[in-house]
Amino acid sequence: MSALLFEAVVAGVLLGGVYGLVALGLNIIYGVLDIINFAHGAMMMMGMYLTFWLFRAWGIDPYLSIFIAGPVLFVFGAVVYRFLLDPMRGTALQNQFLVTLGLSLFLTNAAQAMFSPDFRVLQTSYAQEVVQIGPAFIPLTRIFTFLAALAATAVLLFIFQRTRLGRSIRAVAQQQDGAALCGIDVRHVYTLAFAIGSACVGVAGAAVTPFFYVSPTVGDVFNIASFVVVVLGGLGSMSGSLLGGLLLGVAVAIGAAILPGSFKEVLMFAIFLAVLLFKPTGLLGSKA
Amino acid sequence: MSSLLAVEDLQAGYGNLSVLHGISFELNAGEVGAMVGANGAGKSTTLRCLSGLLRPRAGTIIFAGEDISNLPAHRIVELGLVQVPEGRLLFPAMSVRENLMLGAFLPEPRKRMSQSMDAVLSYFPALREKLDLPAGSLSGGQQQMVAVGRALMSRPKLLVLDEPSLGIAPLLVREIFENIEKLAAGGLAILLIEQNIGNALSLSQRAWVIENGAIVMQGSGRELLDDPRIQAAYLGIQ
Repeated sequence: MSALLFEAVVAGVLLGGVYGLVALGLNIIYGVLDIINFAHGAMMMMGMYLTFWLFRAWGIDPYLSIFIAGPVLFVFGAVVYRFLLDPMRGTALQNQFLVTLGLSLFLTNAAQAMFSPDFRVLQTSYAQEVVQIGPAFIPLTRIFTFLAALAATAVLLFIFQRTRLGRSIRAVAQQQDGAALCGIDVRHVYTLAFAIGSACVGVAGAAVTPFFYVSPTVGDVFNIASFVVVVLGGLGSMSGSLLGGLLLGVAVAIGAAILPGSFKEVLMFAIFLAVLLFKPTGLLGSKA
Repeated sequence: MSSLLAVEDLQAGYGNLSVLHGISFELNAGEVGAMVGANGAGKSTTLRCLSGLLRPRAGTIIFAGEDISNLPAHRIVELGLVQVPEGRLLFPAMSVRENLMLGAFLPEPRKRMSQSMDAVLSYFPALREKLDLPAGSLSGGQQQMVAVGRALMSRPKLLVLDEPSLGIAPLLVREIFENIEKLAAGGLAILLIEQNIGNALSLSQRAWVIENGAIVMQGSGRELLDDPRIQAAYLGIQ
C-alpha cells in the first residue's frame, strides 16, 4: 500500500470518528422519536460558531469548548423539543420533520445575517503539529478530535446500556405505551433524547473547529454524512453509527485520494444509494 | 368504606367514533372484578382510560381517593394502578431481567426491587432460566408472565389485566388464572377483562357485562355465571 493511500486510510478513520458521533446523535433522535432531524447539521454549525467565538473573544481552547458547546446544545435541543416539536406530537409525523427543516433554514440564515457567509478558520498554536504514524504524517488536531469523539461515543454507549436513564430511553424507543405503563414519563424521555442527540453535535462541532472551516452552511456537509452513516450502520443501531462513521470516513478519504476533485460527495451519495439498494437495513440494523 | 376505584359516567372514543357512553362501576380493595363482553364492546377502551393511555371525554375516575381522570399514565402508575396491557407491550429487544427491572422504575418500587424480583420469580418459576434472553424470543404464554411480572414489580394496589388469556395455549391459560387467584388470595385488588368468560367470572366478586359501550348487567361473578341470559349469549349453554 502506498504511503498516500495509508495516509488516506488513517485520516479517514480519524474523521470517521466524528461522523460516527454526529450520526449517533441523529440515530438517538430517530430511534426514540421516529423523526429525522434535518436541523442536525445546522445545530452542529451553532456549536462550531460558539467554539470559534469563544476562542476569538477569550482564547478558550476549542477542545475545552467541548464542555461548553455540549451542554449549550443540550439545552437548546431540550427547548426546541418542548416548544417546537412536542406541540406537533400526535399530528402527522411529517409535520415534525418539516419543523426541523424549517429550523435548519432559520439557523443557517440567521448565521449568515449575523456572521456573514465568510469562511472562517480557527488557528490554534498547535494547528501545524504532526505525528508520524508509519509512513504517514497526521496532524495532531485530527488525533485529538478523534479521541474526543470516541470518548463522547463511549460515554453515550455506557449511559444507554448501563444506566437507569439509558434503560428508560431504550424502553420508550422500543415500546412507548409499555414504558408509560412502567411509570416512565414519556414526554420527559422524548425531551432528553432530543437534547442528548443535540449535545452530540455540540461536542462534534467544537471538536472539529481546530481543522475544519466554519461557515453558516458548513452543517450541510455533516448533515449529508450523518444521513449516509445512519443508513450505512443501520437505523436505530447505536454501535452501527460508530462502525458506519469509520467506514464512511475511510471510503471518502480513499476516494478523495484517488478520484479527481469533487468526486468525494459523489462517492458519499453512491454509498448511500448502494446501501439502500442492496442492504436497506444497514450493516447492524434490525429488520424493522 | 369508600371504594378503591370508582368510575362515574365515563365517556370516551377515538376521533369521530364514540365508544363508551357513560360507564359507572366500583371496586373495593382486595376484590376481583371482571368486565366481560364481546369484541369491540368497549372493554379495552375502558382500561385505556383507567391507565391514562386514553383521555376520557367526560366522567370521572377516582382511584385511592384521587381524581385520575386527566393524569398522564406515569402518574397513575405512581399511585398504584398498574395495567398489563393487551398485546403485553413488552420491550422485545431487552432481556427478561431488564423488562422486570423497568417495572420497578419509579423510586418507591425501586427500593424493593430485589424483593419484588424474588416474589415474581416464585409466581413464575419458568422465567428464572429465561432472565437473560430477549423478551421477544419467549413464547406467548411466557411473555404474558413477563408482562404480569413487570406490573407486579411496580407494587400495584390495583392490578388491571387486559385479556390475559388472549393468544395463549390452553394449558398455560389455566396456569395464568391460577396465578391470578393466588395474587387475589394475597389481598391484591384485580380488575380484568376477558373473553374467556367462564374462568373470569368464577373468580370475581364483582362482574359487569358491557355491550356497545354501556354496562347492561352486573352482579357477583357467580350470579352472572348462573344467569340464563349470560349462559345463552356468552357461554353457549341453551
